[in-house]
Amino acid sequence: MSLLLLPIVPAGFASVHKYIQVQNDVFHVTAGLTTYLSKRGTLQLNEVDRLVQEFVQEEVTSQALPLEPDRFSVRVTRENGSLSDEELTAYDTFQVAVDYPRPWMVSWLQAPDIHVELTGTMEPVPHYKEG
Amino acid sequence: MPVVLLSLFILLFSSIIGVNHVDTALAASSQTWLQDQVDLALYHASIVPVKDGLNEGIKEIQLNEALDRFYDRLKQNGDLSKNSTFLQPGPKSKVKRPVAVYVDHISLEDSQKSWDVTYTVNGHTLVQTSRTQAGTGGELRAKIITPEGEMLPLPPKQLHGPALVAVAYGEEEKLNRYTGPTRIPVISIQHISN
Repeated sequence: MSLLLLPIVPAGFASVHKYIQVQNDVFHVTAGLTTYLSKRGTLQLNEVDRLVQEFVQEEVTSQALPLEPDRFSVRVTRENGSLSDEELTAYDTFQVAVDYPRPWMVSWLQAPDIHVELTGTMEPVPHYKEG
Repeated sequence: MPVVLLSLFILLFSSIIGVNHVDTALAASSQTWLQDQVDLALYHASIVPVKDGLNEGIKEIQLNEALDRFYDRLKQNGDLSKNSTFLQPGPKSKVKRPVAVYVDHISLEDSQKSWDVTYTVNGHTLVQTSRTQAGTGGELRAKIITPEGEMLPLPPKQLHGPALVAVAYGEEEKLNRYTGPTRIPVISIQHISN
């Protein structure tokens, strides 16, 4: 019995370690994406998909993250519901929701897929000036 | 019998290594999470809606108003509620213990000088215990002194003008309780004018 456990225990720890790392990377990419979209000031809806795709691709590549850009599922919505056909303009609040499939795990570690949701505001900068 | 004993020893050994690996990943994850939360909230705090159509995007800084926006965004994104001088994590928060936080405003004049700043953790509160001018150049060097007296240097920041600076400190329990808590020191800076 203890011989059987020998490969399973390290595999379990490796799975948990990998899951935490992937979750961390996905959160970090989502935070960066939220800021990136905020800084645009205004956002045409037909631009969203392209901008998201470009950002995720660039972020994963430049930081050599062990993630697959194609597996990101990103939704950008208004604070109070789905994105209407109006563009997001200054001071509009929006939500970025990202889903990413969990990494490979041993069968008895049924962790959920990774889901991150962050709120941002379209924010032209700078807003304050020194009084 | 010796095979069983050897197997048990290897199991124990690999478990200890595994727990420490997971602790390391959790510590890095908590650090990134809190840093991103503070960055996002401070960015949100550094702006204010101006809808009069004449001076859109420009308004004199009101620190209290900026702080409200800072704490609102921390609540929205990180489920961190302001509780007098610290942040109380809610069930959706990644950190589970209170986070001490301190937000400061650096004026245009002060931003042209270099500063050594010390923050001390007192219970769940972060107190700025010294702020000493260290020449010119706009470099901000900050450190946190923990309740145990340990000094945690924060990454230096370059000031290019008036800014909001947020410093936060949290501690999280590790799986391996014998190695003490994970310390999470964070500094974030957001310039508020060009």
